[in-house]
Amino acid sequence: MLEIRNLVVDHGELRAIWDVSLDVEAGERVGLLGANGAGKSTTLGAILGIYKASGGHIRYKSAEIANREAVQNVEAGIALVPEGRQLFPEMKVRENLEMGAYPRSARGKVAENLDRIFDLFPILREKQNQNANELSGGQQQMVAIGRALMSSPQLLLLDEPFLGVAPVIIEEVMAALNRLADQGVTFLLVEQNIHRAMEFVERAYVIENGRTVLAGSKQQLLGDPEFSNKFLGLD
Amino acid sequence: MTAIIAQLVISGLLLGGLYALVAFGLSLIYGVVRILNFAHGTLLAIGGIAASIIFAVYKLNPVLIAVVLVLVFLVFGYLMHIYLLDPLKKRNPFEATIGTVLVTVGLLLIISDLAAEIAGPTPKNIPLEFHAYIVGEVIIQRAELYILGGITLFTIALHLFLKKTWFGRAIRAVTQSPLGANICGIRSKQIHAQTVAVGCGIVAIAGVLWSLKFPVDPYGGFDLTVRAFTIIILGGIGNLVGALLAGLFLGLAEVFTSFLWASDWAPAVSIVLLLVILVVFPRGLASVRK
Amino acid sequence: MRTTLFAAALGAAALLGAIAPASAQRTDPCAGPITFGTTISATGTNSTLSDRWMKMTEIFEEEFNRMAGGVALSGCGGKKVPIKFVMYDDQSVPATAVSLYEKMATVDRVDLFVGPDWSTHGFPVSQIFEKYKTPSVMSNVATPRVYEQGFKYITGLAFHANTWSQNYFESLKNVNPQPKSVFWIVHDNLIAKTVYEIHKPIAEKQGIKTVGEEIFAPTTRDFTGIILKIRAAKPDIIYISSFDAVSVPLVQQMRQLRVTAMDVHHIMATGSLARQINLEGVTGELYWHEGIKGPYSDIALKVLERAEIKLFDYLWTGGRLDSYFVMIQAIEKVGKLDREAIATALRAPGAKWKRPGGEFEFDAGGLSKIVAFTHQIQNGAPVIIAPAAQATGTIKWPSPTWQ
Ligand SMILES: Nc1ncnc2c1ncn2[C@@H]1O[C@H](COP(=O)(O)OP(=O)(O)O)[C@@H](O)[C@H]1O
Ligand SMILES: [Mg+2]
Repeated sequence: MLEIRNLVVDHGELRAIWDVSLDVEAGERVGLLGANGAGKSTTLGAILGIYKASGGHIRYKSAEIANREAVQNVEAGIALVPEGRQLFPEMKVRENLEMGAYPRSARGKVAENLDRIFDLFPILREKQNQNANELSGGQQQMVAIGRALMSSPQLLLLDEPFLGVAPVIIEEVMAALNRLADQGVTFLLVEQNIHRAMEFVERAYVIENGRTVLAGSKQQLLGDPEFSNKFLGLD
Repeated sequence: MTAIIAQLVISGLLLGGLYALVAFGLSLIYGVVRILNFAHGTLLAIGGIAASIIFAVYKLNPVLIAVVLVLVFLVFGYLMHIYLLDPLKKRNPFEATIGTVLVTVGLLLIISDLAAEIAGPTPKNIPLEFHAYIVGEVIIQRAELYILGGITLFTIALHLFLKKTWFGRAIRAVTQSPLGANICGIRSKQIHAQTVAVGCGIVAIAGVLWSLKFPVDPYGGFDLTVRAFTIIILGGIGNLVGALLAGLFLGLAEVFTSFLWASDWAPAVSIVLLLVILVVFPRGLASVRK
Repeated sequence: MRTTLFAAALGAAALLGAIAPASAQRTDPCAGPITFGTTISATGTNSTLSDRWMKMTEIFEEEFNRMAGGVALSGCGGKKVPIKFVMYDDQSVPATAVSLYEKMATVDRVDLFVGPDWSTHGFPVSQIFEKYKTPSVMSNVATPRVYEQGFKYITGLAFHANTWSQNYFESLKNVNPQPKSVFWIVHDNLIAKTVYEIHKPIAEKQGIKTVGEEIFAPTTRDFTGIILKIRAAKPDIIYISSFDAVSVPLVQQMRQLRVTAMDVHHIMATGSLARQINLEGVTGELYWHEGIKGPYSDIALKVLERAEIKLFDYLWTGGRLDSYFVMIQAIEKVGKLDREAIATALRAPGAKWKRPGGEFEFDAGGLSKIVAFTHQIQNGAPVIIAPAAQATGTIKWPSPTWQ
């Protein structure tokens, strides 16, 4: 479904991604791991189209999408739950969700998708008329996920969705993600907490300094001494 | 005494409502594009002058004049963003900031001179000679009722636009989180240009309403820009309700200062108010509502 | 960049001035023409008052030489000598005016100066007259301070802040019913405040009590506060000491809020003001008016007609034209083109000078003692109501539109 080859991304003068390659098949749950500043968020941003690729390819459903505008990719079924949530603090929860359906192709299914999200996160139905900044961190994360779902994505990019979320809520969110996966949504998850990531993903890539350095299934990676050295000892 | 207070309140609300309209456009533009448009009040003056001239020559209904001017100002705002403001973004932040000040101040000077050259430097307004309503000792011009009605309707319309339309919501979204908006598929460059256009369109409406009551001249808009800055800071950036309240408050404060104290102090009210509120409510009046 | 260039230009001009002989006067004055150097604010902020004066001055040169035949000098065998203007646009900028007068003294070598206009210009430019010992008759430089520098070569035509409304208050003595009170509304500006300060005691001396006084900033839009104070004070006279443009909303709102008084007086009740608001019945001051005939008025009226200038629209045009007439009279009094003698004649104590508006004298400092005509707008046009000798109509009292 998604195929990245030798991706290069620059932030102005600074090169954040040197050489990233990865594949995600439809229906898979793939992890993207790496230390702080490794280039995970930049990779996700490049996939969605908020950063321009300076080199390499990003193919989605066999079409070249590197350097397409974000709106085109959202319409094509990619959505991002960004690091730090990036909600609209002075807008109501419901308005925040509705903004996720901004691309024209998504506007027809607003009511349907809202219902789906309120079923997934019932608390949001209750809080739909409160401003986003009045919610707890976990609830805000639910809004961010819900907003991404408003465009009925097939590929969901999640950037550290559990950061700053209370453990009880993490369980709830995790359950929701599992339900989505069961419905056929494909996942690319960025997560710093390896244990948590490994609970969810089937396969993962590791990037370091803007380069993919390791890849493999959950079992392969957990059995790989290099991987253990890099991550497992640390947390 | 009640009559005097009533008369002052009417004038204060009118003045303040008009101030708020000036602030609306400036606030939208700043919220989205993060550019302080120093030419904003001058654009109001140009709108008012154009409206006065169109009225004098064609005797057109002011509502129609507003429609025509809004279209012209929308186009002007769009082009202004594409050709003057947007290119500055390619500069580093320091140059960009200085650049926007220079560009908008330069624009202010140029359009003032140009308008003075074309239309003459004398103040102009739309002299609607309607009868007045007299209630006891309180006198209200029918034109003033039209202005109050216009301000109210327009504020409601703008509020609904920002709340209910995709475009309006996109403006608010970009104001509150540019990255979040980007992720939702909002094209920022397009929204920027469109918002500058809308901000200018709003100022055209403000200019027509303004010229129904007060004369404007090509050099007379800058103090309105300063008042609009004050209002935005009092009311909160991108906050329509806050701007309306702050505008009305400022208008009433000026009118009452002039009556209770001395007229030469009235223009200073906005500055004093600004200082006081920045000290007492550092997060703006809007935070008091909550 | 511009300032340094400008400073360099000034320096160069000053140097030239120092080298040139101080009085490079021609040997045969009868050959003419006599050159008058002047600057006019044809562009810039003051140009609303004077944008037609360059054309007017060209026409003046032509008409004066034609109608009067030129200036009478002694020793030219009865033949009159024509005049010629050397003229520049000072762009309403005082520093530009200064450098242009330097240039006219050193490069153009004009015989005499007339102008400039406005106190802001007259102040610095008067130094140039002294430096080159070349007399000038300035116009519309009304601030007394300019004439208190002890300079020898300046004179100026303008009405005096001291006597601005003298005729008005004089005429109030003969109206019925008698006004007993006045409310002053004053534009926060030097000349407007001076006029107010001077006339307040004058009014009080003749029994007109001050019941209110209010100074307003030029950016004031809403005058409700002031107007309610006026309504509470119920003055017989409302005296507005203000430039015309800034008082448009004031008078407009006074009308809307039904202010009543025996009279509303505006010290600059001009044509441009009258076009924007209902000035009917308002009294004010004029420097000169087409309806008033006097010395040279035939030439002046012809010039105004050809230059398409109405005095009501271009309030200060009279001062400009008068400066030309006075300089011509000074040359004729002396009979020869002698700057020293002309400067002395201009400042001779008690000397009488003619202008279309009548006869006048200069005060000790060189400022004309001209008292403005008082007018009232009747049927959309100004009617002179004082002084009685030159009145073109009578005052309607109490003012019919403020009842
Ligand atoms: N918007 C940006 N502008 C400039 N540099 C950035 C930006 N975003 C990230 N970077 C830089 O790019 C590199 C990769 O960052 P990021 O993709 O956020 O890493 P990660 O998500 O793995 O922590 C870092 O060095 C970071 O400082
Ligand atoms: Mg990151």
